[in-house]
Amino acid sequence: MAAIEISKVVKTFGAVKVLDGIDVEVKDREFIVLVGPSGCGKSTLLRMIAGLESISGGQVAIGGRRVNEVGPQERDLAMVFQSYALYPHMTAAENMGFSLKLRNRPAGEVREAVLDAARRLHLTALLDRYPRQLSGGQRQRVAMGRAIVRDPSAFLFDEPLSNLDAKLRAHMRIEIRQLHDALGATSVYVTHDQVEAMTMADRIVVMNAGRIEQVGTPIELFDTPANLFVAGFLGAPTMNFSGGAVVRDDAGELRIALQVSPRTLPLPDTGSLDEGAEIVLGMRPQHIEIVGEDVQDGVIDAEVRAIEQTGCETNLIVAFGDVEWTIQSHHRVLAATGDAIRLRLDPARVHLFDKQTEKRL
Amino acid sequence: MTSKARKSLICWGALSPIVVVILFPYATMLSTALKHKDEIFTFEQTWWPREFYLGNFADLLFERGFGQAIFNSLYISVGATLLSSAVAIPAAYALSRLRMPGKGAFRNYLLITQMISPIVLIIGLFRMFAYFGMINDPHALIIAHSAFYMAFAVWMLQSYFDTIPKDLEEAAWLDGASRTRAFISVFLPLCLPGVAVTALFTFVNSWNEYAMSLTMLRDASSQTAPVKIAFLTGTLYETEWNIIMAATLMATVPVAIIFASIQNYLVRGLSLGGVK
Repeated sequence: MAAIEISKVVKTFGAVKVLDGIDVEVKDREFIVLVGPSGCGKSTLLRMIAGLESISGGQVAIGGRRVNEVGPQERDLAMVFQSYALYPHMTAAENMGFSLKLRNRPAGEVREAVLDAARRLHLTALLDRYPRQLSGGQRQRVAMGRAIVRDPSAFLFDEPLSNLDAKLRAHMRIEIRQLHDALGATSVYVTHDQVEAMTMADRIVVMNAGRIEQVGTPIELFDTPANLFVAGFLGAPTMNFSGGAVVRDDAGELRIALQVSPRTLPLPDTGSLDEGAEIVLGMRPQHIEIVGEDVQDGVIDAEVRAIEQTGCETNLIVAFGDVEWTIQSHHRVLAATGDAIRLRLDPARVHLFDKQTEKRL
Repeated sequence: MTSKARKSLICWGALSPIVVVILFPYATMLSTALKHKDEIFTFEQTWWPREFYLGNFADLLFERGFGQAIFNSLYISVGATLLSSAVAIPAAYALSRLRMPGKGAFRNYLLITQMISPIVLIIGLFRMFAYFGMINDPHALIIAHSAFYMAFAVWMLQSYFDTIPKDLEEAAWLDGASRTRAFISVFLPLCLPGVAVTALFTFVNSWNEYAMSLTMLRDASSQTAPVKIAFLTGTLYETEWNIIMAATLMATVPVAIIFASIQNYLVRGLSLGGVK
């Protein structure tokens, strides 16, 4: 397995710049997830690593070797495609053994390697079937088998689970990650699903509009998002936002005044904010507490707009002024649409962003 | 009666006039070809010959050199099909897969060539092949036929190639296959239906082509089957319908059989390539 270094990579299609100065270092044996909304350039970046797209600027190196001018055949990478891209005229076994056959390995060795991969993926009974005779999940496994049957420098995954149903997807997430660990592989995984990113990655690269917004471990990105985009992209339900400003109260203390709430909130200790600073406050739905009349400081009065019960948690859509927030509670909240509700924001878990730069404060 | 049986009965009922129109010439051909010359011009016409007389075919093959004409036709049609496929497949692949400037213009150019009737070009072609000393040379027709039917082949193949997902080739490249190897091992097997349909169209067009063959091949020994058949009519003081019908039967039945036998393949190729 090998490390992949991507430095100052640029991709242009005619006059359109789809990737603008991308720097990522994928360490040996690391599981990196590229995540972002569709059109952010994550698949293009993966295809550039694979050698399927030319590199307009910068450099891609695999295992210390510059591969800009090297074709996909020579890069020693294995890729799992979103469509699986199984060869329709070959059986599962032939699909999996194709790469070894191309390397002129003896038939016995190919068979042994295919059987070994099939055992890992529970495909042994399906080896003689053609792709059209397999279910979506089975095809996905064959595509995985084709990737692991030889020992490539790195695995590339291009949204491999997006065609599966939710249950199978959850199962395959775990299986891919276990396979990665068992093989001691280096993996680059592209997805638009932030749950996949959070659960599978060693490190996540969040991309938007051809740029990297933030790189870090899932927990780092979740707890300390670098900007509004990352804050809004990761986490489900998404983070709640409201505009506001820093004000000084009668006692001379700095506090946050939200645009649409008459009460002020205590200012978390960021150290760098002055009176009058315009901010965006972000709050995860899980970190908002529903409180009674007895709590006075730092509360917001809101009205319940909708309630979703999922069984183990309750999602409340609440509104104050023209702002709608989602609250997620692990308690059964017995409220009805139209009820007045009091919310308390835990100051330690408030995220503040600069209104102009959208950067974390 | 089940609804399925009723449905197929209605379909066959509706199709029967077409079936008659298509099969009637064949029935006439077969009936006449198997009759003795004397039996054709009788007042009471019968479909069924008195005896199955194969002398017409023997006469045709051994006395009139029709075997040679069939061979010439076969040689030219197979040659034209191979040559046009050899050029059209890579051309269609390039149009379908590679980024290159002037792609749209090239496609339009191919379309425009189809608007010109071959007849208009025959004099020019004759002079060209005469210049190269290729009159009476079947290879001249192989070149001319493959050139005429190539534009159609490229169009047809390209639209078929466009339906083959690019992912498959990319997967093959990552598996370690060169572009050529991926083309041969992965791409070509998947577009065989399309290639077969296109090749068959070229073959049939070339097989049936008359005007150019008549112009370029002046010798009796180098004539193709359609030209030979035309020469059989009105040769002497009589028209030998028994011989002519035997000849048309021999020239059309093999093609009809090929068409019928790969019908499923054809429909798949046409619907995939043309419609989608």
